[in-house]
Amino acid sequence: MKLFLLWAAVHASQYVLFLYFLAINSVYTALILLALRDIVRHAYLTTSRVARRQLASEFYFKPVSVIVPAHNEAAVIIQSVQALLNLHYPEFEVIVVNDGSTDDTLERLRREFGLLPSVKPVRLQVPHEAIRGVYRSEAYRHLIVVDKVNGGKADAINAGVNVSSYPLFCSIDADSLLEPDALLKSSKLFLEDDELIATGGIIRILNGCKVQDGAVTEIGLPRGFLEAMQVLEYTRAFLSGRTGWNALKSLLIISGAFGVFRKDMVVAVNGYRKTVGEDMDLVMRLHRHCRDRAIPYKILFVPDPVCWTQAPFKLGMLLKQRNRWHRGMIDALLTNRAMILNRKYGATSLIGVSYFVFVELLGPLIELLGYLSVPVLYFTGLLSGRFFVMLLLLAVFWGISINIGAVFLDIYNFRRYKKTSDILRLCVLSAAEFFGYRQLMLLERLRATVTFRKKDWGIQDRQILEDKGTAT
Amino acid sequence: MAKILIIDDDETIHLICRAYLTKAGHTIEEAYDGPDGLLKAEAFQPDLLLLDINMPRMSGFDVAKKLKENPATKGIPIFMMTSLKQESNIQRGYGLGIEEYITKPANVEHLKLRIEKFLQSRK
Amino acid sequence: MLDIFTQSPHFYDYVTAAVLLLGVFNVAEVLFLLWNKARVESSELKRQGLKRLASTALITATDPAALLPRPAKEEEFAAYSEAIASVLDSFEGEIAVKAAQLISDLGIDDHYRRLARHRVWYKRGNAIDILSSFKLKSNREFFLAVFRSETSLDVRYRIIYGLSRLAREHADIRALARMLSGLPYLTAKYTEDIFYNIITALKATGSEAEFGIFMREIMNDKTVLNLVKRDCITACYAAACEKGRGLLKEYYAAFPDEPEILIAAVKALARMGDFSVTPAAIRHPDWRVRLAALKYAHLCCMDMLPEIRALLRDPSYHVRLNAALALAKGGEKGLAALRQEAAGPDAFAASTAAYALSQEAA
Repeated sequence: MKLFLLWAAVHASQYVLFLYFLAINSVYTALILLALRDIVRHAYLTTSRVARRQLASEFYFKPVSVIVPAHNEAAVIIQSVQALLNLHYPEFEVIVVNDGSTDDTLERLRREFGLLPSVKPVRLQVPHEAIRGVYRSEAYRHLIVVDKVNGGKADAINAGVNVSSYPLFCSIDADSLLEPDALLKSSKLFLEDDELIATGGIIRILNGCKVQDGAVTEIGLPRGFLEAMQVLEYTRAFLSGRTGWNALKSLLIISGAFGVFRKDMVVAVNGYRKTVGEDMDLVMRLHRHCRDRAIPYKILFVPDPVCWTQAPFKLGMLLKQRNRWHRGMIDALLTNRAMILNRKYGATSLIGVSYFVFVELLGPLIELLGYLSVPVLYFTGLLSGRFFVMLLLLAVFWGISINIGAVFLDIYNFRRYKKTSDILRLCVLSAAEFFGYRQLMLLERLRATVTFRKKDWGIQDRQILEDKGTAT
Repeated sequence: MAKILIIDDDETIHLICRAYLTKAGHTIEEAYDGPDGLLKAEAFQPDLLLLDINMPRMSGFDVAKKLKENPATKGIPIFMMTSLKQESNIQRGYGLGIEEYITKPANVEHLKLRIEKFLQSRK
Repeated sequence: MLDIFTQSPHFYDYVTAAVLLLGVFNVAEVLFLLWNKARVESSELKRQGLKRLASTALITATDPAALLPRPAKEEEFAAYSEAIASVLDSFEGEIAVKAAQLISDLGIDDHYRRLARHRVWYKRGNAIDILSSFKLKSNREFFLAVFRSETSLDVRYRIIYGLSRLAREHADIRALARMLSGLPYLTAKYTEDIFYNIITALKATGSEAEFGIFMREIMNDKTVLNLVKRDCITACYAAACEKGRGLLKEYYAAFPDEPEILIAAVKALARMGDFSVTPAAIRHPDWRVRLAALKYAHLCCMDMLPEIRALLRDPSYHVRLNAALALAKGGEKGLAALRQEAAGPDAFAASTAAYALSQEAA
C-alpha cells in the first residue's frame, strides 16, 4: 500500500513539476512580451518635444511630503537628507521619522540641521506608536523630524502621514537615492489622472555607480558577483515583471524603497499595518478597498522615475533580506486571503494574487520537490538520464532567454548600462543564475516559509557613500 | 563686444541665438543644463545670462535662485525665457531679481536689440 | 504518466529540437542586443547631425530647402520635425516663416498626413502630435476630417489637442467643446490644457474676447459638464485671461452649489487681484470653498476679522488651520486676536493659534 502511494506520489510529482515549469516560464515570457509592447508604444509616444511640453507644466504640480522612516541610520542619514532637501521640486517637505533609534541618529540630525520644537497640531488619522516630539529645522523650513517610540517601518510611515500636510506622500528608505526629477515624474502622473492612487518607480542598484553631491554621475555594473546578480534580478523583476502587471491591472507591490501615494486613500484604509511586508499589504488593501466600493482607481508602475538603493554585498545580508521579503509576502497574502481566487476582485485576484500564491509562494516548494525527485526517480529507474538532461537544458535555456529578454528591454528603453562589457557580463550572468544563485535563494525562501512566525527586521550593514567615489 | 552665457537644454535655440549674437560681435558660451550652467556662470563671468525656464532636471527658477545665492554670480543680470505668460511666473521671476522676461515665441532681431539696449544702459 | 510522452517516438526529437532552438535563440538574442545598441547610438548621432544641419540652414540660407537633403527615412523626418518645432515654439519673425515654409518644401506635412492614416494607432497618434506641434492653420481641415474617421480614443484626444492650438473664433471653440463632450472626460489637466491652448491661440491673434463669448454661451448649457466649465475657468487663470474678470464673477453667482466651479472662480479672480467674491466664499457652506477663500483672506477681508476668528472652531481641520494662518498674516489686529486665542480655553484653537504665530514669527 505504501509502495503504491509512493509510486503515485512520484508520478504525480512528475506531472506537477512539468506543469509548474511550463507555467512559470510561460508567465515570465508573457510578461516580457507585454512589457515589450508597452515599451515600444512608450518610445513612440514620448518624443523629447512632447515630454518637454509636459515637463513645462512644472507650474502645475501637487505638493508632496517625502517620508523617510529611520531606525539606527546614523551612518547615512545626514547625506540622505541633504540629497532629499536638494530635490528639484517646487513645493515639498521632508519628514524624517526617527523610529526610536538607539544610536545617535536624532542627535546628528539636530546638530546638522538646527532642529527646533514645532507646535503644529498633529492630526491622528492613522495609528502608530506614541510620538515623543516633532521638530522643524531652522535652516531648512521644509525639513521636519518626528521622534517617536519604536514601532517598525510601517508604524514610522504612519506617523509621517499624520504629520504631513500635503495630499501626496512619497515613502522612501533612508539609504535610497532619488534621482532629482524622480519626484516630478511620479507626481505629475497624479495630476494627469484623477483615478491614480499609487505609483511605484523603478529601483536600481547603486553599487558600482559613482555618486557625487548626492546624484549618480556614472552608472556601472558592480564588480561583486552577488551585487551584479541582483542587478539582473531587479531588472527582470521591475522591467518585465511590473510593467507586465500594469497591463493586467495586477500590480501588487509598490516597493517600500520608493512609492508615491495619495494620502486620502491610504488614510481611508487606515494606513500601513504593523507587519514585515507592509508595502505589499498596503497595496493589496488599497485594491480591496477600491474594488469593494466600486471606486474607479489605478495603481501603476512607471519605469520613468528612478530610485537608487544599496544592495547587500555580503551573502549573509542578502539571505536575511530575501528571508524578510518572503515572510512579508506570506504575511500579506494571509491577511488579504479574501483576495485569493475571488472573482469579485477581477484580474487583480485571478491573475495577480494567483501568481503570488502559486508561483512565488508554492513555487519554491514545487521546485524543491523537483530537485529532490530527480535522484529518487533516477534510482527507481523511472527516469532516463537522457530525458532528465533534455528537460534540464530546456528549463535553463528558456530561463536564460527570459533573463536576456529583460536585459534587452532595459537597454532598449533606458540605455543605462552603456559599456559593452557591462552588457555582455549581464548576459553571462543570465546564464550563471541557474548554477547556484537561484538554488541558494530558493533554499532561503523555503526557510522563510518554514520559520514564518518569527517577526523581525534584521539589521543591514550600511556602506557610507563617499562624496566623490563609488559606493563599493 | 559682450560676453553672453546661454543656458537652455535645446540645441536648436543655442544654434540660432549663437548665430545671431556672434554676428553682432558678442562672445557666446553655452550650457545645456542647470548644474553645468552654474559652473560656467562662475567661471565665465558673463555680462548677461539668457536662461530658459523649462529645463528637465533643474528649472530655470532653481538656477536663478542658486545664481543669486552665490556671491560670485549674484551680480550677473539674467534674461529669463519662457513660453508661459502666467502672472505668477512673472512675480516669481521679478521676486528673484530677474532683469527681463522674454516670452516665447520671441523675435530674434528684437531680442538682439533688447540685449544691446540693456548692455548700453549698463555702461 | 509522463511515460506516455517519453515513450512516443518523436518526443525526444521535439525536445532536442526545442533545446537547440532555445540555445540558438539565446545566442541570437545577445547578438541582437549588441547590434541594436550600436544601431541606436549611430541613429542618435545621425539625428543630432541632421537637426544641426537644419538649424544652420535656417539661419544662414534664404532658401534652406535647397541646402538640405530631402528626408526619406522615418528618423530623418523625425529629426527635421524636431528642429522645426523647436524653432516655431521659440521664435517668431523671419526664421519662423522660413521654418514653416520648410515643412511643405521638404514634404514633411505630406508625410505625416499619410502617417496619420496608418494602421497602428500609436503611429497615428505620433503623426498627429508632430503635426500639432507645427501649429499650421492649413492643418485645421485635415484634423477635422481625420477626427471624423478616427476610431481610437487616444488619437482623438490628440487631434482635439492639435485643433485647440489653431482656434480662431468662438465658433471654433464651440466645435471643439462639442467634440470634447462626445468623448469621455479624460482628466482635468487635459481639458484645462485644451482651453489654455485655445486662449493662447486667440491672444496671439488679438481675439481673446472670443473666449468670453464662448464661456457666456456655455454657462447655462446643461449638456456641457460642470467639470469642463471649471476647467475653462482654471485655464483663464493659467493663461492670465484678464478680460474674463466680469464673466468669472457671473460664473460665481450662477453656480452657488458647485464647489469646484466656485473654488476655481475664487482662485482665478484672486490672482487677478479681484477679491469681490472672497467674502461670500468665506461664508460658504462647503468647507472646500471656505478653505480656498481663506488663503487670500489676509489680502482683502481683514474687516471680517470676527468671522475669521470664529472659523478657528470650524468643523473642518483645514479650515481651522488656514483661518489661523490668515489671521497671522493679517496685521496687528489679526496677531492680537491670535494671541488671545492662544491663551484661551479651546485647546485646539489654542494650539493652532500658537502654531500660526510661530509661523509668522519665522
